[in-house]
Amino acid sequence: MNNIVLRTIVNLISRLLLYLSIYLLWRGHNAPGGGFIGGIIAAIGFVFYAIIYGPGKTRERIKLPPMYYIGGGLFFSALSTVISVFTGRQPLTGLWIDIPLPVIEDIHLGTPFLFDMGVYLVVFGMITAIIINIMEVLRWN
Amino acid sequence: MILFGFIFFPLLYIIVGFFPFPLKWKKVLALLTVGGNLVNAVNLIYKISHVGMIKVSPGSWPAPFGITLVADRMSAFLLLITAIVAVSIVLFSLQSVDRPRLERGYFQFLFGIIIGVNGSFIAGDLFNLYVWFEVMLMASFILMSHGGEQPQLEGAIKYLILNLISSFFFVAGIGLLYGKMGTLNLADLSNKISQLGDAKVILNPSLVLIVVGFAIKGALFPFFFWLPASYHTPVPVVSALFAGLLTKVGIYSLIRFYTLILYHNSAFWNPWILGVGTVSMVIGVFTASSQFDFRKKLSFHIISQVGYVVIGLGFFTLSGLAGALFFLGHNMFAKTNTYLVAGWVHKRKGTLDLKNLGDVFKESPVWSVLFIISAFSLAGLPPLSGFIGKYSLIKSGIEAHHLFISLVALFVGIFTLFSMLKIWIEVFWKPVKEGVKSFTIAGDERLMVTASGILALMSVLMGIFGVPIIDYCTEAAADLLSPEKYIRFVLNV
Amino acid sequence: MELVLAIFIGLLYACGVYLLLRRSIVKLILGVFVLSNATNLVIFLAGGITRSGISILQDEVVVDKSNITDPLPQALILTAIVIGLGIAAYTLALKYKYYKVTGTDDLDRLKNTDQR
Repeated sequence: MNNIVLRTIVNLISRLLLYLSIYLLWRGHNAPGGGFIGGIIAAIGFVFYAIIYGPGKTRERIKLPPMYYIGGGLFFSALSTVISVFTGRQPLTGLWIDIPLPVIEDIHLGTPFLFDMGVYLVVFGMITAIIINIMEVLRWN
Repeated sequence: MILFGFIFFPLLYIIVGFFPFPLKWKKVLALLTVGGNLVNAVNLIYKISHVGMIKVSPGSWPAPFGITLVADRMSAFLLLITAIVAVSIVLFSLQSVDRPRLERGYFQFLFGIIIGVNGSFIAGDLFNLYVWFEVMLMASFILMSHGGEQPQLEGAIKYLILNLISSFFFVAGIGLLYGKMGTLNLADLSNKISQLGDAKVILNPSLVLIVVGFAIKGALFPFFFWLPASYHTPVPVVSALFAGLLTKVGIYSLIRFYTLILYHNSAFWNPWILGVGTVSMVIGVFTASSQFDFRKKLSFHIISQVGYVVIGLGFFTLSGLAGALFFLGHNMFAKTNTYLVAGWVHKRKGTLDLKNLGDVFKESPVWSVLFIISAFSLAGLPPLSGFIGKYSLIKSGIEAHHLFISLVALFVGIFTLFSMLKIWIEVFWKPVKEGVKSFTIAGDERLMVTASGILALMSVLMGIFGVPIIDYCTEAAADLLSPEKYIRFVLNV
Repeated sequence: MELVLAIFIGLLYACGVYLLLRRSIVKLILGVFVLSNATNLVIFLAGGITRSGISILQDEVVVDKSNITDPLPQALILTAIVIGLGIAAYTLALKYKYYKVTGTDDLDRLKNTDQR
């Protein structure tokens, strides 16, 4: 779709949604949000992008093939399940570390966040893969 | 952490499969993965025979609150058999599946099925069981339609819709059960139901929904129609995998569910289980004898043999359950192998129509012997594994005063033999009909012979070492018959 | 509220079964989606519908502990929805491929793999 207004807005919106999704991923441990929702919102930004710019440009924009995102996400999730096994606990047990920071509050980082990040990547990769493939099959743009 | 390995090893292959490594590496890695799974299973059965039960609580949440993965003797036995079947399936796939399919993630989906099956065997929680079912089903949907030929797509639509409906039954049942009992952990459920007294009648609607879900998955009468309509459509080795593993998971779940939950109300459930098992046996074997396609004939036999396992469960005695468990294991080997031979015939001759086949014995005595071992094992001839399975089932049936059902089981055995002999004569023995063009596609098939040989050898070994295996199964059945042990172990009380 | 939701679930099941019995494959697939949503609602209803505070207890928030929504059914529904998403994508792709190969949308033409 060759419309300058749409192109600019979509460019902006896909960026905004990406930042929003990362924020949701970060707050997701105890508050509403999390990997699944974050991944869907990030993917929605790129779906808008694909509708306007076409699947080819979207592939360039997400840099790697969507399958790599799925594989990488699964890898992070699998990693987070076994980290606790190496420390002699049951698999999937949450391990936490506090990183003290001077001005803002401390960062509370743990394996559940790693798991959520994996889910984020899997969902993002899966939805972009589905949408891009469907668009290519239907010869969108 | 042995139990976790059953899910983790196949998952590692799936992760690697997303990245573009050369096909050769992926093949080697697939072999390594099933090998690791087999080692893990042997290790588990060794430990279980000493300890009795093993559990893992992911996330360190104690039993009724978190998900628990539990393995008892029955799970370990079935996990070992699954691992052996998986090894031979991967070996067979390496040579029989065409290159485009292998490049498009064939092994990933195969390992998806193996994760699902392994997970179902160790799930200690109803919703967890549902999730493993879905993992298995998603992978099997894709394997069934992988390649996109017309009969495959048709078969996939039927398989997909009916299995989805069974999932809906199952989930709705789980939801209603949770609403009434407030827990989904199988051990906790069993414990709470035993305290209910007469009020447990209110659970029947949700239990019926769950059992119908299992029955559709396990292809029991009257829910088996999806199986013969779809199992003969995919690549032969895929239908071997499905025939060997998928319906057995439904039956495993039924056994687990019956021995933990349904037995509280056995006056209601027992007649149904026995009736459904008997009718499945008879219907399966009769419809099989009217078929003229190699794989379709075998598909109907799956239904008949699932019936045997279910009547063993219905007798609900020590020897009956042991026989059912033995039969389940034997059937996974024998059934997979007959399908593998069908796959070889299909690759070699390009057809599976019994009327157009013939003279295969002259061409390859090795494959004929491999087929006849598994086929006679299915029919229950001594000294093969099927004989011991059927013998102990029928003996326990007579001991439990179910004379009619035992007679039916014997009768069905004769018809199974008839069907197997018919395949033998039509495919391997008779000369090719005049006017039918017969051709042979030669190729390297050493791995295929090895794969099929492993399974045939297992059938023979299960026959020769029948006594120790039956002893093991009896111990497993004793665990199943006294669920207090399972409950105490899972809940730590 | 429970009664309204129960009637609504019944209606959804009725619609789903009706769609499943149609001859068109697209309607069959839509029926499957409707049934899956109806099933999710069953879990939601069975878990109990109560108005209450948050279910994750934190130190600084004071919650009436006698009135807490059970979060488990919602987790179950979320899982079921995710599975439904995967199945929806697969089913639609299957339908598309089937239409391309055979050029038909009629379930009655699917007889080749059944009895002859």
